[in-house]
Parts: sequence; structure tokens; C-alpha cells
Amino acid sequence: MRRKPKDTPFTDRIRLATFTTVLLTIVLIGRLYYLQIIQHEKYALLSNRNRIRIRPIIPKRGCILALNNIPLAFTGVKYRLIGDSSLKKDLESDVKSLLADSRAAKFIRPGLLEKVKNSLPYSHVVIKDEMTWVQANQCLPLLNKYKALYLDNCYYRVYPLGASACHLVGYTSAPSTKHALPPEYKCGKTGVEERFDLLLAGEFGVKKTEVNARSIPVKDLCDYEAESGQNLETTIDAALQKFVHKLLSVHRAASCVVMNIENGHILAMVSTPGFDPNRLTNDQKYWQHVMQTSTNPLMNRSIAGLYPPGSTFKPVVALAALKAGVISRNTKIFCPGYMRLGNHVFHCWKRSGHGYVNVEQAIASSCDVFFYNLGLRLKLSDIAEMAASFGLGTKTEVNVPHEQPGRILLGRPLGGGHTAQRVLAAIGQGSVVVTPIGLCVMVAQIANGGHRIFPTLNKGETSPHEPLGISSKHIEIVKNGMFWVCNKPGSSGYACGYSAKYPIAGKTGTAQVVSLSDKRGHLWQYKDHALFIAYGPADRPKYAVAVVVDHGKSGALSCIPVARQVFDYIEANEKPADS
Amino acid sequence: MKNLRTVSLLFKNHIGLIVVICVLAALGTAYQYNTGGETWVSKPLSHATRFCGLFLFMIFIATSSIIFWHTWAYQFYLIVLVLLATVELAGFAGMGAKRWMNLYIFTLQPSEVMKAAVILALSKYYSDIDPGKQDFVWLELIKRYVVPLLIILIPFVVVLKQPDLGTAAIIAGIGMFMMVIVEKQPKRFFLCLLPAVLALPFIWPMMYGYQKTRILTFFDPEKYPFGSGYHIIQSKIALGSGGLLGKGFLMGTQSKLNFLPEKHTDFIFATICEELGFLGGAVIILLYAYIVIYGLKIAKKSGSRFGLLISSGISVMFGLHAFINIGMVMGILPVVGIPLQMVSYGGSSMMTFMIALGIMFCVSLNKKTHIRP
Repeated sequence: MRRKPKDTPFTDRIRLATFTTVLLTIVLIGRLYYLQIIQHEKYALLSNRNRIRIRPIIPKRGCILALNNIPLAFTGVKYRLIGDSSLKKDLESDVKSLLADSRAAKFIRPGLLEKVKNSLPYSHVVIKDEMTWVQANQCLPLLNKYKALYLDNCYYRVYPLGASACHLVGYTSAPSTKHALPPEYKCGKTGVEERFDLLLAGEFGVKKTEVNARSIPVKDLCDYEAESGQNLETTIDAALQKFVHKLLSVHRAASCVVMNIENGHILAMVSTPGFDPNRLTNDQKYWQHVMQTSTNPLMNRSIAGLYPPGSTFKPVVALAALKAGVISRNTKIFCPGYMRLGNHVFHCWKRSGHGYVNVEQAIASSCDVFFYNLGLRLKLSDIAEMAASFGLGTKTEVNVPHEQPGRILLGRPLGGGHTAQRVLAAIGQGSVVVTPIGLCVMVAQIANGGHRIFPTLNKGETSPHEPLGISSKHIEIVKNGMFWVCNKPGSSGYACGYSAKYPIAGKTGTAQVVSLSDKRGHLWQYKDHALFIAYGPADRPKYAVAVVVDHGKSGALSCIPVARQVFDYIEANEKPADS
Repeated sequence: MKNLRTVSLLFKNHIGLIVVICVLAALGTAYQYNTGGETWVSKPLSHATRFCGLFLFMIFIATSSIIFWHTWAYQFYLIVLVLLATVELAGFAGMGAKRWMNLYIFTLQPSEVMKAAVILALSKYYSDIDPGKQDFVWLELIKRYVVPLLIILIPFVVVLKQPDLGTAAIIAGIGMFMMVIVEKQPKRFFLCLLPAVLALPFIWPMMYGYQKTRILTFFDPEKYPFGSGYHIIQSKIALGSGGLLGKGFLMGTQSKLNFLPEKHTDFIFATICEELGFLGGAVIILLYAYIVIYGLKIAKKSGSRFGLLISSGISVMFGLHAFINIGMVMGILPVVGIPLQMVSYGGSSMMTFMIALGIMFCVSLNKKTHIRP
């Protein structure tokens, strides 16, 4: 035996046990090192995620202002009654006794108890939304009794003009995107609310709270206050907007755009029928009603309604003819009251005929035969080019969303165009449709002597003046014609110019929906559209107006009174500003 | 007079270990204060009081005669076994398990004391067998393996049914270690492990559903983030977020905000490491390693076979306790309910520790005493 007598197998094994202990110690320290040093960042992040709850603070939405700081939309503060789900047992019993409480009857919605029962733990249930100060005060005695209920501020949007400016201003409602936004957050839908949403919305604040394992807040870590949205100053004249709305509301469906020619500012943009934006998103029945109305109140006709321009297109055709040189200022064409083309007879609106007319007279009297002849002499592409240079085939890019571009299908499929197609195009029927705002921009561009205008609602913007490349001589001719429309007794627009405070020029239009022989013509939805475009004062144009009455009788009867009163209104309200 | 001399000898020879024990107890008191709502009354106070009382008791045991323990080993074993059976029949349940019995002054967890009792009984049994004498082969087999296995298995099964998987595992571990250490032929080491392997298929169906889940969870804790995996995930987050130096005393968010379960008992190591960091944790591990190695050294120096067995068994018990607890907190062992002795809150665990420590000192002070079987 090599071993010493004392060195028993026990000592050997004790040594082995000591060795094992050292080994296991190294294992433990190694593991500790791995967790605490190597993986520290990962676990530090997880630890913070455990304890910190981030909740957004909703910013106050900015106001939309008309001229003179009259609000078109502003954000008010209301109160709401909230149930704290972290005390779910308390909340359930509170809601049950609320249901039995007669004082609380008006705060209760059906299905509230189910909502409370199904709510996520540690969330908040809105018991009653958008209460006024008075209602909130009525709630106060209830609060002492019920532990899990409390009052909180909430924002709500007010539209003082109501339906008058509903399409223009738009409305707010819950965003449709599935971002993790708080349910009470609302974003702009249509109108200026949508277009300037980023500016108006402001910046979210952040509320960081430390919570414990039961998600109960322990302490507030830090708050970043929400940054209120900026106010937007628009070019709208609130009183004019209301006034125009009142004038249009006698019609089933109509629209009107009033624009300042000098800087492209939109003063009023009205479309009827409308809706009440104050009720739309929080009144389910009202929403249903609006959606089911056949005249489509949600559509903004002034930018998305497409109409054949009818006779209001004639100035464009005249300019195209003058440019192409197929007529001159003095070229006269005989109007017998009709024009025969093959087997078809195209009638003038005046069956007895206008006799010999030149271009100015043809515009003034809206002679169809004169323009039928221009249609024969011109190529479709000439008309299309001229219409395009007035921007009729594109969007005007006014800052209201969901605009429809006008459409000029002239010339594109057939180059020169079919004869009948050309003849009809020359009186603004057939393959051309425009929006009221497109018409308004067109007339403004004629009025200012052929300079491009970009309409805008933003008070900070001014439209640049670029020449369109149309001979000013030709424009003068057309403007003369348009002047006589409103100022020659017996012509279609005389009612507008008659005894007006300052001279007005314009052009009426009647757009056929179905052919004259169609038997459905007596139904409202198959009646002709009535259109009228005007600018004034005729000598130094400042304001342009386009009025379209859907299925109105004729331009003279339904549109002209509107335009005339708009000019009168502007004239009456302008004086103090000038002096 | 003799006793006083013994006490001074104890302090002179073992001051290092005594200091280590005091440090651990102080740490435990500090963390009972930390996790118990930052007040000295209740938990920290009773932890400290318990330690002081048990420290005196430990000295009393250390100055006793080792012959006393040798003489009364079986009786001690039997009394604890009876207590264990009584708990099974009449004890009250805490945390879903029947472990405690009410002794009117304090509640006792006999399964904790059982560990020390098994060590005593096995030590006496092995020291009484004459190693030189060879019997008839079957008799030899029964003497060497069957009887010790019964001494281990009876308490093991009772504790497992309590249910207390951790303590059962420790009893089995101690038993296996003692069988290995007395084995004359190294080849048979594996034979000692054989019963454990053979028992596994029988133990598995005996275990409760949740015990099985715990073991399965161990292999994939992320599969049960809110169920049985929650403990271990939160514990790892607590450890990992501590970093090198920790978040500072009283600053641990995982424990303060109650994400960490059992923060003052079984998972106290995670609480400490979150606040004191890697350095604090490593020091604690080293302290426990020191205790184990110190105990093994006492065993080696012991003159008698009984002293050697008992002292090494106690060291292994300390080591297993610390290793299983810390390993479980770190996610390298399944979650079984084992406290970190001296630091975790709990009287029985500390009592076992101090009694065992006392016996260990007693062995050291009586290393020249010859024990006659």
C-alpha cells in the first residue's frame, strides 16, 4: 500500500467532494456572470417594460378660423364620467346601483353593465361622454357615493356654422387606421379638417407611470405635455358662407364657389344638401339618415360634382376659334334658328334664330348655331387644348381633399373628332364635364386677362400670376361678350347685371342630362342642370362666382339670383374695408 | 468551567465560519427589512431574534458531547419521522402544502429537521457496521444497501407526498452522498446511483401535476409566461437587470413592485442580486462555498468515522441547499421550494441550519473522542 495509514478512502472522497463544491461554485458564478453582465441590457429593458406604462395624452386640436378670426371649428372642453376598471368589483357594484338610482337615469346607456364586465382589467370605461358643465355638476353628488367613478376632461369639436360649411370644414372622427391610438382620439375627415390634419392635430403628450405587478400605478415618472394644434386661418368669409348657404338651400342640390380673383382666395364654398357636423359622428340615427338620403349630402358638390358645362363652355370655344384663326372679331355667321347636318337638325335655343351674329354677339345671346359652326371649323383637339390651358381637365388643387378633376375627353380618341361630336362639344355638351370650382377658376382666369390662378383656402398663400399664353386681344373679345350677357336687356344674364352697383359680366349655361325627346325629362333627376359663371366688377375684375343648381330650371331662374345677391353682399360689405 | 473553555475554544478555532454565518444572518435581516415593507418590526426583527436564540442553541449543541448524538441518533430520527407522519395527518397547510405543525410557541416544519435526522441516523448506522468484517453475501448486501436505503426512502416518500419536492430531493441527495462516501469499492459508486435511476419511473407517477409542470417548465420557461414559467422569467429579469453593481439597496423595481414572487423567501437571492448586482451575488455564492468547504475540512480532520460521516453529510446538505436554491433562481434547475438558508425568511430552515452547524462544531471540538459502537 502506497497510502499512508491515515489516508483512508474517506479522505480521498472528501477531497473529491471539495473539488465538486469548487466546480459547482464556478458554475453558479459563471451563470450569474452570464445573466448579470453579458445579458444585462436585455434584462434591463425587460425590467423597464415590466414597470413603465406609457399612455398618450391627447393634444387639443387647433381652431379653423374664417376671416376676422370667426371660428369655423373649435375645440371645447366637456366632462365625462369614467369608471376605473382596476377596481373592477367596486365598479360593477357601482354600476349596478347606478342602474337602480333614479338621479343617474340620464347617465346610463343600455348595455353599460356588459361593457363594464367585458372591459379589460385596469382600463377605463367611459360611463357618460361629453357632458356639459351643468351635467357634470349633477354628477358630483354621485361621485361621493361611488368609489370607482371619477370625472375627467374631454375635448369635443364644435362647428358654429353647422351645415353651412360642413363640406368645406369637414368633421372629425376616430381614425380608421389601426394604430395604437387612444379610442377618444379623433382625426380630421374630409374638408379642411382632413387636409390640414397634421397642423391642427398637434403633438401627443406622454404620460409615463410606474406600475406594480398588478398594473396599479405606483408613481408618476414624467409627463411630456401635449402640444396643442395650431390654429388655421382660412380665407372664408363666414357671413358670406352662411348667406350663400341660405340662398342655395331653397334648391334640392346646388353648389357655389366665390373666389377673390386677385389672390385666388376662396371666400365661400357651399354645397347643399349638407349635414350637421356637430351631430354626424355621435348620433347613430342621424348618421343613418344622412347615409340614406338619395341626394348624397356627404358629397362636396363644389369640388367633386361633375357637370357638363353647357353654354358656360362657349367662351372657351370662342377663344379656341380665335386662336386657331377660323374666325376673327368681325366674322359673322347667319343663325336661322337651326343647323342641318346630314339627316339631323341641331336647333338653336332660339327657334326664330339670331340672324347674322359675330363672336361677341354670339356669346352675349348664347347663339348655338354660331358655335355649331365653330365646331365644324375647329378640330376637337383645338377645343381640348384651350380647355386644358384653363385647367378644366385637371384638379384645381384647392386645399380641400377629395376633389375630382374635370374631364375633357375631346379629341383624344378621334384626333379631329367626329363631326357631331365636335358640334356638341362646341356648346359644352357631350364629352366634357367640369366641377363648379373648375368653372370658377376658369371664369376668373378669363376675367384677369388670361393668368393662371391657383385657388386656396389658406390665408397665408397667394396665387401666383402666370400668363396662360392666350392673346389678351382675344380675351377682351370674350370678356365683352360676357359683359353683354349681363348688361344687354333681354339677354340671359340681364337679371344679374341689371341695376347692379357695379358692372358684372357672366355666362349662363344649361346642361342637358337626357335628350329633349326623352320621356323621363319631367323627373327631377333628369332635368337639366343650371349653371352660371360671373365676375365683377367687369372693368377691374375682383370676384369670380360659379353657381350650379343640380337639375335647376334654367340658369337665369335659379342661379342668377344667387350670383346677384352674392355680388350685392360683397359690394355692401366691402365699403367699410375700402374707406 | 469545562464548558466555558470549550466555548472559547470554539470561537478561537472557528471565528471565520462564525463571522460568515453572522454576515449571512445580517444580510437576511437587512433583506427582510427591505422586502417586508421597510419596517423593522415583524419580519426583520423576528429573523434577527431567531438568529440570536438559535446562535445560543448552536453553542449549546457545540459544547455537548458527541457521544450523546451517537447514542440518541436513531431515537432522534424516529421522533422526527413520527412528527412528519403527524404533520401528514394533522398538520395545517400553508401555501398549498401540508408542511407545518403548530407547537404553540412556534410552528415547526418537520421535513426541514428530517434532513439532519437522516444524516445522524445514517452516520450512526454506517459507523456501527464493522468495515473489516465480511458477512455472508446476501446478508452483506442487505446490511450495506437495503437498510440505508430504507432509512432514506421512508422520509423521502413522506416528504414527496407532502408535497415538498425540494426537500425530498435534498434528502435523496444527502442519502446518495453518504452511500457513496462509505462505499469501499469505487466501482460500486454507480451502483449507489442505481436505486435513484430505478426509482425515477416510480417517482414520476407519484408526483403531483404541478410538480411535473415545474420540471417541464424548467426546460422551456418561455412557454408558460404567466403560468409556471412566470417565476423563473421574472427572476431572471431581476437578476439580469441588476448588472454589475445592482440598482442599489431598496431600489430594486422587480421586487419592490412585486413582479418577483416569493421575494423574501425562495427568491430572495434574485432580490439581493437585483439590488447588489453581480458583485453582491458572487460574494454570497463564495460565502456558501466557504461554509461547505470548511465543513468538509472538519470532516477530514475528524478522528472518528461517525464524526466524519456526520460532518461531511452536513456540509453536503448546506451545499445542496445553496446550489439548488441559487440554481433555481438562475434558471439552471427546476423551481422547487427550497429556501436560501440563513437569508430566506423561515424559522425551521434556520433552525435546521443552526442545529446542523452546532453538531458540526461539536464534531470538530470532539475530534479526539473515540466512539465505541
